[in-house]
Amino acid sequence: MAMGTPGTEDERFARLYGEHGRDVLAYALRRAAGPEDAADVVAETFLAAWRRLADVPAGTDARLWLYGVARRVLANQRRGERRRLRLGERLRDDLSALAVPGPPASAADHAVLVALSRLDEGDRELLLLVGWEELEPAEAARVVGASAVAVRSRLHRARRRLRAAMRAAESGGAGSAHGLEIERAR
Amino acid sequence: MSTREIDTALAAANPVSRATVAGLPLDAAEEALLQAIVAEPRRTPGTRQARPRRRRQLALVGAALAAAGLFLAVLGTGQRSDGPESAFGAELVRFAESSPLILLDAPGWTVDYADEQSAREGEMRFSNGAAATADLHWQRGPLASWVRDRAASATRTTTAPVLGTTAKVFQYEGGSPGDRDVTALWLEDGRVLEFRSQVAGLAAFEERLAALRRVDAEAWLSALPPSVVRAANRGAAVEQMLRGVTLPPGFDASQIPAQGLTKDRYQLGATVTGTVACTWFEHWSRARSAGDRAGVRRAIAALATAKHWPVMRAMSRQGGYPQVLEEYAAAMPSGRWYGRPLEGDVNSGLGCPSLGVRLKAP
Repeated sequence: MAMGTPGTEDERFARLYGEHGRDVLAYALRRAAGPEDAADVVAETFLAAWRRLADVPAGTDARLWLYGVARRVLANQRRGERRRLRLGERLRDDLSALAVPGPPASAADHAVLVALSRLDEGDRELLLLVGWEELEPAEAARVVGASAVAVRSRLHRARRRLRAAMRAAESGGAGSAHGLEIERAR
Repeated sequence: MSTREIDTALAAANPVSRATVAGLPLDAAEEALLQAIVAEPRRTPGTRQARPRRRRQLALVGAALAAAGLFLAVLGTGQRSDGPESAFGAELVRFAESSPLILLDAPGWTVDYADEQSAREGEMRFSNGAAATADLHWQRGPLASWVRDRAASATRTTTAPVLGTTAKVFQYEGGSPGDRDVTALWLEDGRVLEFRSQVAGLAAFEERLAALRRVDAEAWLSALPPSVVRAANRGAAVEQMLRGVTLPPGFDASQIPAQGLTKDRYQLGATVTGTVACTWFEHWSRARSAGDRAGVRRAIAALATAKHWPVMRAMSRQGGYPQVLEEYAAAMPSGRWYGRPLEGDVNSGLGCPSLGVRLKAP
């Protein structure tokens, strides 16, 4: 369902940003290489939303749509296709000047981040969408364009791989024997 | 570590909380962005500019996560073997010996992933090139607890023949017609095997299950995708990666640990450069403790060259590991990392203990 709320396009767009702008910023800050890149993700995501306003779903589904766009922008950044949109300049400058959090406070948290960095992008993104964006598996599925059933299955695998990576770091050896543990499929 | 503990650890490691972002004083910047966007004509967007070289507080967090994006990017960089047995190195032969030699024998299906978490546990993924995938996971241990776990969340339980035995089959709720999540469990040679796929229904799943075939090690290894770097090439790959790298005194390539199956060159690069870097950090830390200023300077100067190492330049095009290492190297003169002794974060960040080096906090 597209946005059908009454009002001018400007008003609808402002409402969209007001409801989801900080969610997209948080999503970008958690993944981009730095605050400037995160600002670019926000600018480019909402520019896409403005240009395709009729395609943006209504209600909370809009957030999932925006995450999907932001995910593609980030993928382009990782391939080196960074844009420096003029219109994101102020946000870029202000965000860079702020004392946005640095590395996590505890070594345990840091170890989780490093373990995440060893996973492939598909596993990592699903884990983060559920763990950090607090999405249900069915919602994460809409962001990544997969079926909910497939995402549940992939999440199951991804948790297993994250656990293996965390254990490898903890035990000081990737090849240590692992005891049998059961992981719930759902 | 249970699933719940993993989820808790993951949530705790979120570097940017919702409350933090909500509290950022960005209203004016956001208003400017909004106004600029709605003034935009509907045409192809902006221009490219060079990325400014500015230090970013979030760099490490982002870089650590960005590193995750490269695994798929490096698929295909390995060389598929043309020949028979001699092409497979000892590591791959060992992998085959510790894995169930099973393939999905159906038109269009290939192996697109294979990995082992340990000698006891591994997995492989089959794909038909379209959307369909199937996973085979194996682990040592009793079958009963797995059956109980799967049964607890299944909506339908049945049995089906597989490879001369009978598997317990579980269909889960949800999904749409044509996209059901079904999994099968059986025991083989003291290992629990689980085969999971998304199918139209139980009949289609049984058909897929029936397409599983036992093969010999040669056929199994030949079916592995190029992303599985041939173990026979590992030594040559390590040697090539060490070219142009500033090595610590007395460093020997044999001290770079072989960490299970080497899946791709980026991961191997992280192991190689991580071992070198951790050794340099250890030299630096010891020199600091001993008041050896020349030794401290030597280590700092060595790791300052890391950004120019050819292997690091290649890796930086694929992910964030080099950036993590450079951030740590840049912190060496102060010896502090956000107010903490650098050693602890280097240990956990680069995984030094798993590379045979453990830095001691001052």
